[in-house]
Amino acid sequence: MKFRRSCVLLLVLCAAVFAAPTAGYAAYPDRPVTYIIGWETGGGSDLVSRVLCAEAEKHLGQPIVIVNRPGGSGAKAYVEISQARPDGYTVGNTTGTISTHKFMGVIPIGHEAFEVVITFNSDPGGLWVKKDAPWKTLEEFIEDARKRPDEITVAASNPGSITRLGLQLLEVKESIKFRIASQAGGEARGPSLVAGGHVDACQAAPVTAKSLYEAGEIRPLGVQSEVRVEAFPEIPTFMEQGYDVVMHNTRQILAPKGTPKEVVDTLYRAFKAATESETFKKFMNESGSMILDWDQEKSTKFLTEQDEQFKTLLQQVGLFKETK
Amino acid sequence: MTLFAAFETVFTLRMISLIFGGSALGIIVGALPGLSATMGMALMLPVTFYMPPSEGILMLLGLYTGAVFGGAYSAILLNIPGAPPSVMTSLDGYPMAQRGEAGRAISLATVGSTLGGIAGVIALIIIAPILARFALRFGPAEYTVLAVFGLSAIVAVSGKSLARGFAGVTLGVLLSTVGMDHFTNVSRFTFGSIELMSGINFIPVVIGLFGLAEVIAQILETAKEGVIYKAVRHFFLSKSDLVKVIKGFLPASLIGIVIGVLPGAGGTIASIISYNQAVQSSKEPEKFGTGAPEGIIASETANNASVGGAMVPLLTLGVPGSSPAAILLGALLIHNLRPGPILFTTQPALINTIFAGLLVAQFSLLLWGFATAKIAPRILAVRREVMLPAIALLCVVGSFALKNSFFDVGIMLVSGVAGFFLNKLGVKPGTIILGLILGPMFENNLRSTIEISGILPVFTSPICIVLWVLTAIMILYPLCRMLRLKKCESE
Repeated sequence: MKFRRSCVLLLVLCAAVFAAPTAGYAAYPDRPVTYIIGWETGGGSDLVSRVLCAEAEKHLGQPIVIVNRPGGSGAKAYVEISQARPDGYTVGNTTGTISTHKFMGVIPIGHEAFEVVITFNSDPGGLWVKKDAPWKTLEEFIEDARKRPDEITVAASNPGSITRLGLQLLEVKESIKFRIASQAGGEARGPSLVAGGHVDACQAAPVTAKSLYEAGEIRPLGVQSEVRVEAFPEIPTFMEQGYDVVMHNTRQILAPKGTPKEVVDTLYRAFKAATESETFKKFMNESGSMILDWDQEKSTKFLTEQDEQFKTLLQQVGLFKETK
Repeated sequence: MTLFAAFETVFTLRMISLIFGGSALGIIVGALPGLSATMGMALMLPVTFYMPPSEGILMLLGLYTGAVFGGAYSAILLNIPGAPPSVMTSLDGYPMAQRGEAGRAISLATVGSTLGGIAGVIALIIIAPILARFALRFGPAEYTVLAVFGLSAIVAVSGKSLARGFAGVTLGVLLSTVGMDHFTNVSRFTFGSIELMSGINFIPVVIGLFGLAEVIAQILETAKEGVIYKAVRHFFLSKSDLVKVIKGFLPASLIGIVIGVLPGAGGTIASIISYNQAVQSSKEPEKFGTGAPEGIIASETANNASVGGAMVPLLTLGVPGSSPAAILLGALLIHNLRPGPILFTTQPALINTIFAGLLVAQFSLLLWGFATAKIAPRILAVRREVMLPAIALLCVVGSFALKNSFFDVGIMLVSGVAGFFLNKLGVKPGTIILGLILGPMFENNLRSTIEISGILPVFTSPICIVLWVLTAIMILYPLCRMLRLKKCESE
């Protein structure tokens, strides 16, 4: 099946070479669009993209062919999309790593090497403790951490990941120090470790923690968004509780730099319609994830600000590396 | 609705054909190297959006069940484990096929998988909440020792020379260190390559070490004409085979269920531990690796028992412990269904339908398995000048399909050539795979344990102590036996 898809892709590429000069953009899209996912089949980015694309292709009028190119937390896919022909027939998705890779020396490019089609999803960070943990509020937790530096254990993903940065932002702002336990598998394992009593707390997006939270095994101390997450109106934000900590992991769709404005707009309309579809809404609301529909201008502004935030933060935690 | 009533929902032509169709598709996906259960399910996911939840889920469950079993086909017939959980199956399945008993090997895998699968589902129905609690007690320290316990299988897969076995495992562990270190963000042995940042993928290595290495050996070492080996016609199981199945069933399915429940461990590690157990408890351990029916039974029973186990954390806690489980979660979410304890009270009908459907899916293996046990070995009647290039092509396509990456094809080619020479040196490919799977599990969890609270919990946690004792038994028992044998010989 995968092989057949690859064949189709190959044909599409051949077609692109021959058809591009004559086709013009008026009829865009007149053949299938390739959507590159930089993560493994079955992962978070993969599932959300598959649901989104299944809806978007109805509005686009052409099938969207999904190709997984996992490698280096999206790095491999970013490079491939940036080098594709800028005709709107190759797009792909991002996570927050689009704003960290270039400051950590992974790849030299960031969002400025692309046309951003849409920002369709955000998952803010959150802090979770076991149901019977001694801390009732975020304040108690932070004050305890102030008294006992490097003693409270918090599970997070690897250094440089958006999850870890959210936790470190709190450390930097409040001048506190946790004992951070890295999880090779990302933030997914954190809530289970908290529920099993292996660590005191974990940093994870509500989408990751939702199941064990609803099962009553773990309890939230707060989420790191500006406003409360729609699916969890009962969970207070960090800001409400007096801590200026905002950390989002957003997903965008990218097209290569130089893709014509009309094409980007057509793509935007199709994907925006997909974010409004019943199927996508159900999927996102049930999983506890936030839907966004920011256009190119708003997305680019956001990513530029995010770049600054992450650059400063990476410098503060000693992970900043100039790209060659 | 009770479980009994749920069978009424499942026993309709539509449901049965969805489950059986799903499992047939799963077997094909599983049997083709490089295509995994996860991929098949991800591709079918958008189709399920437009089905009622029970139908979509049951089709996906059929696919999942079939895919875990399907790997046995290519493992037995071509020496290419179609999916990671079938690695252990090929150790005895392929030698059996070389003896001309491919049909018998497939039948053994069929019966073992079905029985193991049923045991897994029954455990899911009866003791899911207890198993889920148990799974939560596994933290980094416990996983560390579980990896050590898995590594004790080194004795079972080394063949004649334990020293060469250690060399193989060490090589595997070394290969597993390539890539981005998750704790310090330092790239290890990546030479600046983005491809290597996420590490050396396990599947191209398996395809190379097993499949391509065998093709090279066939080309260089055997007669130029005729077929690779002939399949004997019979595929029925003898009485003594059935006795072996029944003997091997209990330990293998227990191991499959318990390990399958643990997120991240799954079918592959279950089959390794089960195989090891079968070797150590056998009166003739030297027969393993040369086509022992017990080896196939141990591996296949355990990996299919883990299917039921993998559903435990998903349904009881809403935590997907594996990639296929994550896709099932996605399929449920589309329909406004969130797995977890709440689903048991709000949607008991759906839960019971899932249980009933999963049980039926296990029986579908019986049908497909026996239906193909006679036909599938016919592929071996193809002349070798056609067959060997075809297998080589399958190796290339399979390793490419995994990530659409030519880099993986390169990894496969290198592993294939290396595997051929290592085999000549007496280093079994199974040992390298053992190191490659368990190395990262050991390293990541050990370092995580140390980050949290130092190394002490690895020795003091109750589960760890039990696992250490089991490890000691697995290592000391064969040593004692060897010493005893030497004594006997000298006397």
